[in-house]
Order: sequence, then structure tokens, then C-alpha cells
Amino acid sequence: MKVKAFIFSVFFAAIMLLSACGDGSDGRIILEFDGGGGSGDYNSTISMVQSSANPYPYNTLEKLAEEWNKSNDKFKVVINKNSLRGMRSAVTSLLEAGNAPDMLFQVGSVINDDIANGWYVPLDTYLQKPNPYMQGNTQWADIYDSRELATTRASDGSHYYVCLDRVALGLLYNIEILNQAGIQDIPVTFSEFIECLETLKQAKANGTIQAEVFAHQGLWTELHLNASVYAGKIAEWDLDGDRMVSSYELAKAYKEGGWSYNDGEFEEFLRLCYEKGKYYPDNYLAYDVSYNFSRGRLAVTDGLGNNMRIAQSGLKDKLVVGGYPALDSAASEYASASVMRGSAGLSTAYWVTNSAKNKGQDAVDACVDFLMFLSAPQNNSRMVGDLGFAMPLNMQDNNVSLFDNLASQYLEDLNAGNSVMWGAVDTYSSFGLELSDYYQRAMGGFYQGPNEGDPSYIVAVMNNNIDSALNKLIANNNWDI
Amino acid sequence: MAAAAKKKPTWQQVLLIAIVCTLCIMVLYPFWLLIVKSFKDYDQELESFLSLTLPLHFENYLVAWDYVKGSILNSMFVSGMIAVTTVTLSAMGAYAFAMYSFKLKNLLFSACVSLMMIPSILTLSSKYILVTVNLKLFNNFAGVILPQSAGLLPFGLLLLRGYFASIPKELFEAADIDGANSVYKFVKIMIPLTMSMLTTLLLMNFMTSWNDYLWPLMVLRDDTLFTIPINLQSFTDRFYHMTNYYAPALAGYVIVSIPLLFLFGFTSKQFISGMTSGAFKM
Amino acid sequence: MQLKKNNIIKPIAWLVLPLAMMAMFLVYPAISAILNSFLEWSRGSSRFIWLDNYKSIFGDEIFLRSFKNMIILTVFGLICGNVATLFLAELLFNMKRQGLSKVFRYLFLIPSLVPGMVTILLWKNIVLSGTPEGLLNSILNVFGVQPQAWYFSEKLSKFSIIFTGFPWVGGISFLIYLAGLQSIPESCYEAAKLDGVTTIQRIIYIDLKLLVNQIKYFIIIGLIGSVQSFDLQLIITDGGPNYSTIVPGYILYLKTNGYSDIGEASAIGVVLFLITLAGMLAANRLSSGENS
Repeated sequence: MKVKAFIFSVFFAAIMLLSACGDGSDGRIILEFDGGGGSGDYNSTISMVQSSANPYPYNTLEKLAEEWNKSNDKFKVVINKNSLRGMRSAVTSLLEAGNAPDMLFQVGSVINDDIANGWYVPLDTYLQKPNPYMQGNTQWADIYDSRELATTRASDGSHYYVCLDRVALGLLYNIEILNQAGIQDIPVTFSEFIECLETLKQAKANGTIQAEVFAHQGLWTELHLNASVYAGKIAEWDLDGDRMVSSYELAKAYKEGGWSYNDGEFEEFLRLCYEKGKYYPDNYLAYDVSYNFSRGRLAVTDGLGNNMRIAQSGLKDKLVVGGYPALDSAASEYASASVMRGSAGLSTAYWVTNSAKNKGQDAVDACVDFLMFLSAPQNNSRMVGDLGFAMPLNMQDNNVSLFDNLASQYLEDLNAGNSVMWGAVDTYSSFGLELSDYYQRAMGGFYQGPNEGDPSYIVAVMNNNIDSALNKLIANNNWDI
Repeated sequence: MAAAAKKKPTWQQVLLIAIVCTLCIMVLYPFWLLIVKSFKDYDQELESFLSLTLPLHFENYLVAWDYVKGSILNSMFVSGMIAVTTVTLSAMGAYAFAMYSFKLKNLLFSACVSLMMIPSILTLSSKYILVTVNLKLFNNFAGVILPQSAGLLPFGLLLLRGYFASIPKELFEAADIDGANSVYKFVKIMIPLTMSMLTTLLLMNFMTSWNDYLWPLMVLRDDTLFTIPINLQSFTDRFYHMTNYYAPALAGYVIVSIPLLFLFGFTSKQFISGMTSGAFKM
Repeated sequence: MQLKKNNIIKPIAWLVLPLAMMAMFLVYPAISAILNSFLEWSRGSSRFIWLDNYKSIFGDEIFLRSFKNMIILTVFGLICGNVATLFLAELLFNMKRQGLSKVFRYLFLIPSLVPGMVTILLWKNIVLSGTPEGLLNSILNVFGVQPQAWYFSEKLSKFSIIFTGFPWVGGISFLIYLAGLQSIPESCYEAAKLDGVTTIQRIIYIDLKLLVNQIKYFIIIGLIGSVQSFDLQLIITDGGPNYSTIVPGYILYLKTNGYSDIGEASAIGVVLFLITLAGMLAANRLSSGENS
């Protein structure tokens, strides 16, 4: 017993000593970069040998870090081996204690909750400086479309994060099933989309196909429809001219009586949602969409870049990807402008945290420099393209054939200039997660169940909860409404 | 009982064994499924996601091994230390509550036990700041071992106090007559008598801390210090996010159950010897 | 033979280390959690609002509903879990073949090695899957019953949550009951046999009485666990459908992790703490009545 205790204590002491040592680096200050990624993960895989257990070998981010480290003698960027993946329960505590990685991956939407804590470095001054890694660049912000950049602003007007890729987003079709039902082309407008779903439903009813018709994998279609229906109101509600209706502008419009959930627009939005919801399989909440779509048991679904890659490994060339169907005037009297197709915009948000602040202004500058390095097209296209789960910041560099349609549609819409951005108007999830959750849960019963197809139920839920949500938001942000 | 072993089994015994067998199959099915699914590749998973498919894909195990091999020793050390610390301190505390009587004893005991009733999410943040900022134990094994041990203490106290109190006091009287002090009584009498329960508690604590993911992820930063769940959970989430199936991750879970299986076997022996050495024959 | 009364030095010496550890790592964070329940956090600073958080959570109809759900899930969960575990412990205890018993004891530990995620996935996608090919649905099909949505059916969701983990045996818990059973003195059994007591009577009158400590342990642990648990809600049901499976623990999680309502979350935490404390005191009261 005594011997065992002794051995234990020696072992313990040894480990404590070892763990307290530094990492034997060459005297440079370490800047930690937390990997992760919106659609696919940018951390290196354990080996570069491809196998079924390692289907996407990747180490480009690490290589880029090494390149940057070579030309910098004061700082060294280290990519964390295991990302926190933006897990809020861990991240908030780490930020409070000042232990978070210096460059952190986290979804952008949390900024309005965190503003008052002073955890992140505002990046506005840096966005106005030129990016040294891009030839001929006068402002770092130019790599992003101004409207896209506007979506990343916090409620106090500052930018606290930069995005490193664009998320691919669209509808996924099993073209084999569509062909069996007699459909040759994927739909482009909403009317065509509903027609396609109806044809599929008939084919299923008379036994031509066995697959289910449509089920959603993410709740993007509704966002798309919401922006489409309210597009005509943007001019009225947009106060700062960025052609986006931010939470503040929307809240102000609500409080001034500009809109409410009793309006015709919201009812139309719900009607359109139900139009496509009619085609969901029975017990759709219990339906495993990804599983069934990959096995050819579902005809149409929607998804992000990673959903598309997953479906492709199952369906191979039976998969065709297309942009969200544009709301045409035949489908709805409220249709005015179309919403951008192909991408919901920027994703994979990186923040410079208070850990870098504590290491000094140099450290913050170095972090920003690394982020500029990663967003420069020649590096960014390598970083994003080698993994192939999202689209690079410079869309022309997209090398994933699966996303070609989406990339070209997005560029088309961006250049035409009259399309509406994703999330330009969002009347159900702009006011905090709580209201959004009430909406989601109510919609569960709206598609199937006792309240099926009854918009008054949803309207009642929203009306009951909007005031408390708005008041909390206004108090937290100190808005003058 | 030696004479009884020669008799033919009664129908009650046969029924008993049949029921136990059925239950055993039902509870082992998930483990079987774990093993079967860990050998599949994506296409096999698509065709038949439940049944054994050939050929077996051992590369799942090779990849999973690469991810966890660096952290197995760390996990064994950390979990071992947590288990030993918790059991030792719980036994000491339970001894005090069971053998002595003092003012406010029951109140103190209830207060200790009630500490585990606060939902852990609420205390996460302040515990973290205490450990990493005030005690400066960031990136240090002690920052994992000490708080997790403290967290398991109330459970141990609750379990052991009742058990210790039920040990007949007569067994200590002989030692009292010899003038032994409490340390002697604790080490030479109490511990051997309760070894089976202590081993069970040790096993429980080892297993709880073996799978602990969130706290070590927050406290440890050097990848040489990572415990198994940090690597494995991270790999599982990443892999699933990008491929929508689990086979290499499941292979990882099978690999890391092997040390636990050995531990079960070892404690099984202790368990039995603890029971048979208990001087309960009267 | 008396316990040494009034000599407080000895017990304190034994208790100093455990108490110090608990005070530092458990009491101190718990106090800040309790304090938070009286505060309102807004724009990075807090102010005292006393019982307003409590008023608002008790005024929330969904919270009250979650209470009801929690009571149902806890009561049934505790009953099923403990009865099954005791049953298994008794079975193994009564097995005459010691070798076989040893083997089964080892085998029943193995399920605890299966990571929780695998079990939940297994139950969600296979056993209680809503599709007609799901295990239970296939069984029901034999009897001509329609396939059910299980977790996603308003009527059956609570049942599905309780039923997850059937047959509720395996893992370490039955070992503790077994250890308790094996420490019952032989003399008790000899005496019972002489009195002609049957096995069933022996189980009810002797085993259960002498296992009271272990049963109390599992009731308290089970109570704490059930009151705080929300993993099935998080992974499968999201409190639905139509709030039929929402529990206070899940609301607490949402308020800390998404809605950033630390004040109300802490208030819920304190309420749950008080409930489990009341439960524990009740269990103590009942069992000390039995201790003769």
C-alpha cells in the first residue's frame, strides 16, 4: 500500500512538472487559432492518406499557418488540434476567464448577446486598411460585397468578426426520381417548384415512384420565403440605406405600427410555407431526412454545403443542386424582387478575442494580419477549395463542380444588383433566439397535427410573445425606440 | 453448499438462468451493434446499417487509433487520480459521519449531500474562473483532477456513510481494547471489510471521469495533455458533420473501452475477495 | 460501546480534507449561482431584482407545464429503474452456480461502456423509430396496430422517454445492490429458513429492509439526475411535440446557452435544488421510520 502510494505521488509530481513547462518554442509569442468551419471543418485530419475512414484528408490551413509563420519573427500562429466548434457553454466561460484562443471560430449571430462584455476586438479600423496580401487592394472590406458586410454588423454598428468563406445553399434533387416521375428539369420559380412537387406526389400515388416527395433539412426555405414576401417593404423600413432591414430597423417599424403579425404579408408567408409543407412525409418530425435522401428514398430536400457533399457520396451523379426557387408573381401577389440564389452569404466567422488583447496591441495586429492573409484570394481559395465544403470568398475560384450552378447563380444575382440578400427581412428570427424557438415549435404543429394549415394559431403565438422579446432586445441594446 | 453443487439444477434455477440470459442479450445488443457498425464503410452503412457486413474495414480502427493513441495514458492517469482521490476522501468523510456523533452532524451531512443538487451548468462559469484564474490551474492536470474529484465527493459520502454505519460495531471493540487509534481502525478494519463497496465506487468514479468531455476541454490546452474524450468527441463531431455516418468514431469508442474492460475484470476479482473475506459468519 | 460524544477533534480531523475540497469547488460556485437568481443581467452589468426572476418563471405557463412533465418522468423513471435493478441483483444473488453468476456480473457491466450517444441513436433510429420499419412498430404491426410516431407523438412522447433504456438493467448500479445483498449476514437467512419463510417473503421482508441504505442512495441519486436531466430533450424532442416533453432542466439549459437569461436560469436552478432537497429530506424521514 505504501509503495503504491509512493509510486503514485512520484508519477503525479512528474506529470505536474511536465505539464507546467512551456512548449519549448523558439521564443516567439504563440497566437492560438481555433479551427472549425461552418460547412466543413478546417482542422487538419490525422493523416493525408485517403481511405473510407478518412475521406477528406486536409491540412491546408496548417500549411498556410506555416507559411505565415516563416515570414514573421515575433509571433507564431498555432492551429489548435481540437476546435471548440463555437460551443457556447465552453466559449463563454473561456472568454470570461481570458483563456479563449486568440482567433476564435464562432457563429456570428451571438454578437448582440456578447457586445457588452468587451470580449472581442472591433475590426472596423482594420477593414478600412488595405490588405497587404492582395495586390492593388485599397480596403480589406472590398473583398466582401457591401451588403454582405452589412449583415455582419453588430447592433452598435461595429464589425467584430470576419468571415472566411461563403456557404453553399440550395435545393437538392434526386434527378433519377424526378425523371421517373416525368420531370426533366429542376424548377426555377416557386410555381414550377410546387408543380414539380405535385407531379411527384401524383407519381407516388399511382405507384410510379416509391420515394417521399419533399422534406426540409434546414429551415432555410422559410427564410427565403419571408424575405421574398416582405421584399417590397425594404425601401420603407430600411433607414441606413444598406438595403437590409436590421433588427433595430424592424423593431422600430413594429413599434411605430408599420407592421404586425396580423398583416396580409405574414399570412401570405404562412400560406406559402404550407404550400410546400403539404408534401412532407407522414410523421415528418420523426423522419430522418439525410439518411433517407442519401439512400434514394426522398426526392427533394434542401441543405448547406456539407449536406450536399454527404448526399453526393450516397447518390453520386443522381444528385443535382439548384438555387432556391424564386417567388414569382404567379405564385404570390406580394412577389417583387427575387432573393439571392446560391448562397446565404458569408460564413465561418472568426473573432479576435480578449486573449489577444491581453497579449498587447502587437498581438492583435498580428492576429488581424493572419486573418487578412487567410482571406486573400490566392490563400483563401486554397484553404476553402482543398476541403471543398464551401465556396471561397472569390467565387470565381470555386473548384467544386457540385457548387458550380450555385456559384454562377450567386455571381449573376450579385452583379445584377437588384436582388435581395438572404436575411434582408426576417420577421420571425430577428428578435432573439427565444422568439424564434416559439415560432419553430408552433410551426411543428402547423405542418402536421391538430393546427395543420391554420395560420391564426401561429399568429397568436407570435403576438403573445413579441412584446416581451422586443422589450428585452430594446433594453439590452439601449435602442431609442 | 459443496454438497448442493452436485445436485441437478432445479427448474427454478433453469428459469432464473433463462431470464438472466434474455436480459443479458437485450442489454448487450447495443454493444454488439457498436462493434458491428464500427467495421462498416459508407457504402455498407447505406445498404444495411444494422447487420454485420463483410468485408470488415479495419482502417476505421487504424484511423481512430491515430486520433486517440496520444491520450490514453493521460486519461488513465487523470481518471485514476480522480477515482483514488474521491474514494479516499469519501471514505474518510463517511468514517467520520458513521463512527462519531457530534453536534450538527446530520445537518452537516445533509448540507454536503445537497451540494450535488445544484445543476452543474449554472456553476460551470464561476468554477472555471476560480480554477483557471484564481488558482492558476489552467492547462494543468490538477485543474481537472481536483474539481472533478470534489464534484464526486457528495455521491461517495452518501453511498459510503450508510454502508459504514451498518458494519457492526463489535468488530471494532477488539481493537478498542488493544488501545488502537482511529487511523488503525480505519485502515486495518474498516477498509478491508468494505472493500467490495469501495471497489465499486472506485470503478464508478473512474468511468464517470473517463467519459468527461466538457471540463477537460476547457481546462487543458496543450495537445500532449488531452484526455481521450477531447480527441474522440471532437473527431466524432467533425466526422459526422462531414459524412453523416459514425463508423470510425465507433471504432474509437470500442478501442477506449478496452482499458475499462480490463478494469472490470480486475475489480471483479477484488469484489469477490472482498465479500468472502468479510467476517460475517456468526 | 458508545460513540465518542463531544470529542469534536477526531471527526473534524477526518473531515477536514473532504470538506475543504467541497467548500472550494462546490460551495463557492453554488453561492454565485444562487446570487445570480436574484439579479438581472443586462448590457454586461447586473442589478438586484430580488424575487422578480422567480415571479416571472412561475408566471410562465410553459414552465409550470414542464414541472408536471418532470414529475411524471421522474416518478416513473425511478420506479422502473430501481425495480429492474433490484430484480437483476436478486436474480444474480440467487443463482446457485457461482461461476455463472460471476460471468453474468461481468457481462452486465459492459453496457455502461456504450457511449450515451450510441444508445440514444439506437433508440431514436431503430427501436422507437417513427417509420414502419422501426423495431417496436414492426412488433406492433404483427398485432395489426398502426405505426406510432413515439417521440414525436404528443400522447406517447413521455412514454417513449421513460421507455428509453429498457430493460433498465446493466451498468454499475446493480453491483451496489448486489454488494448490499451479499453483506446481509448468513445468520438472518438461516433463521428465516428455519422459520419456513419462502423466497418471495424473504425478499420482501428481509432483503428490502436491509437494503434500505442502498435504495435510499439510488432514490436520491435518481431524483437528482431526473430532475436535472434533459439530454433526450436536447437531442431528440426539443421539448415537443407541443411542449409535451419539456422539463425545467431543458428550459434552464436553453436560458443559459441560447437566450442568455442567466438570472431566470439560476432561479430555475434554485427551485430544482429546493425540490431535490425536499425529496431527500422526505426520503430520510421515511427511511428512519423504517430503521427499527
